[in-house]
Amino acid sequence: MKAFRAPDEVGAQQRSWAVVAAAFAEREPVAPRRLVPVRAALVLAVVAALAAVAFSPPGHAVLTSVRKAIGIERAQPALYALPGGGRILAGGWLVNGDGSTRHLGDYLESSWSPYGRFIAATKRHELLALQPDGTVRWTLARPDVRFPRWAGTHTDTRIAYLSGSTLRVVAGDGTGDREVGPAAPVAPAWRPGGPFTLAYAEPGGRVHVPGHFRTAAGARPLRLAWSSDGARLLVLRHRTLDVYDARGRRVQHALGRFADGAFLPGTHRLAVLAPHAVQLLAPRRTLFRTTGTLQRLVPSPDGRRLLVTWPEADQWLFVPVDPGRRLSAVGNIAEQLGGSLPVGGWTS
Amino acid sequence: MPDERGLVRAAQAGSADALERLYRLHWPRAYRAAYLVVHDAAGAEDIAQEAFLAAVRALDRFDRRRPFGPWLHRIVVNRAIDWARARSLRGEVGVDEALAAVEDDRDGLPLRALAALPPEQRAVIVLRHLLEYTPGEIARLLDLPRGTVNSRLRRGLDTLSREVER
Repeated sequence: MKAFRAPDEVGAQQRSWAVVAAAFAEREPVAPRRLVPVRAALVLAVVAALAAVAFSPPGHAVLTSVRKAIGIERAQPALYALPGGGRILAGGWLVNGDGSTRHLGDYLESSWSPYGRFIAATKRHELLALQPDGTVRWTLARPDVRFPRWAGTHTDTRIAYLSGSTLRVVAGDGTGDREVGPAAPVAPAWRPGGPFTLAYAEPGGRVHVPGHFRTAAGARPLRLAWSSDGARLLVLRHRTLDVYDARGRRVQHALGRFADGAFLPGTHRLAVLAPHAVQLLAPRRTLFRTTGTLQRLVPSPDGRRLLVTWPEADQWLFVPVDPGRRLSAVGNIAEQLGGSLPVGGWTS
Repeated sequence: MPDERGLVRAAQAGSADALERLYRLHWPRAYRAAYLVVHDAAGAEDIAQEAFLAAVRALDRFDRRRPFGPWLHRIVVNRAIDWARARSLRGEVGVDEALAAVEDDRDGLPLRALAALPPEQRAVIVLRHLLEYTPGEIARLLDLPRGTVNSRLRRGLDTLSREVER
């Protein structure tokens, strides 16, 4: 048995080394943190004192003012225009490039159809297809509808969505609704540019691309996203980032703390949200850092900006990818859009 | 022979060169062990890769007084057993198909017969005869009673002998 050689040992070794070396380069060594008992007691005492102050009326007022101070200080008070143009969906609102907004309806989530001609939207127990002027084309009643994702060509489209813990797919005209299988509560992702190939998370944390591959089990993914050429699939989890090629081989792995991520359009370069920073990977470059908690990242259609939502500051940030450009921020998002709504996409 | 502790210490300090030397030292046997348990090249590559990624993740906490190899092999073999069980449960590949895909008597090994053993028996045979651990070491690696390791070895080797003699 000692003389045994497995198939393609050299190739496997080289492929894996690329992934392991990249993970090592991305790793952030953690210094051991040991609180001696006295220090731990001190920390607990300070926390208790802060809690007591926070629950007193004057203390509450101080915390409120601190909360108001979070965010970009010179943020625009309203969304006058979208930097770079295009159209953004946020819940039941459509934001146009000139800053005008249209209330499509009281929808929980929304996302664009290919080419931005239609919108898939959800109410709690209903999937709807809309025109961008808000006209409802059709509806489909299903329990606990979430994560509608629309894909296809000018003549043939499909919408994948979750109903409870089941992944379902319906044709773009609302017919032929069928069950695909059990799924974890993660937005499925259609592979661009090909036949209808879908990536979705199974309940055990594996990511399945039916007919192609299934990843190893892991923590539940936060985000699945394809590169715009369909050659790479991002599987982002709280603590790990993995990129797979179309055959299911892992080609990139990074460790860290992640909140969201996406490929820049037209490239295989990744933009990620660590909870407190916006970064590009390979090589890692921090575009913006804060002490606040960032939530969602959506690249602009031309890939030159990143829309980053910052709910606790009630702001949207438009972070430039290219060095030398200025970040812009818009405040009072909840007031303008009737709440902190999930951004469903940015199309041209 | 490289000083493994020195390589681990250097890797902990951030040396990519040290990590690469550790990798090249341990990859072939990790990959072969995974392959002999799962009999699937892509699966074995994933398992060995995942074991090294786990090593990278845990590098800062790794106790340098312990040898690196057994720690890595424990991850590889446990993941390989899980992988083989999961594939069996999912029914992704039927047993006949899996066996047909295995080239028999490769390098003098009754691979076809080995593939027909339960993953737990395959694992202890691989640990004993490829990675050359003693039954006591295997018991510690897999958190099993030593008697269980011995019985799995005996049953597995008996089955292999019968298959080879056919």
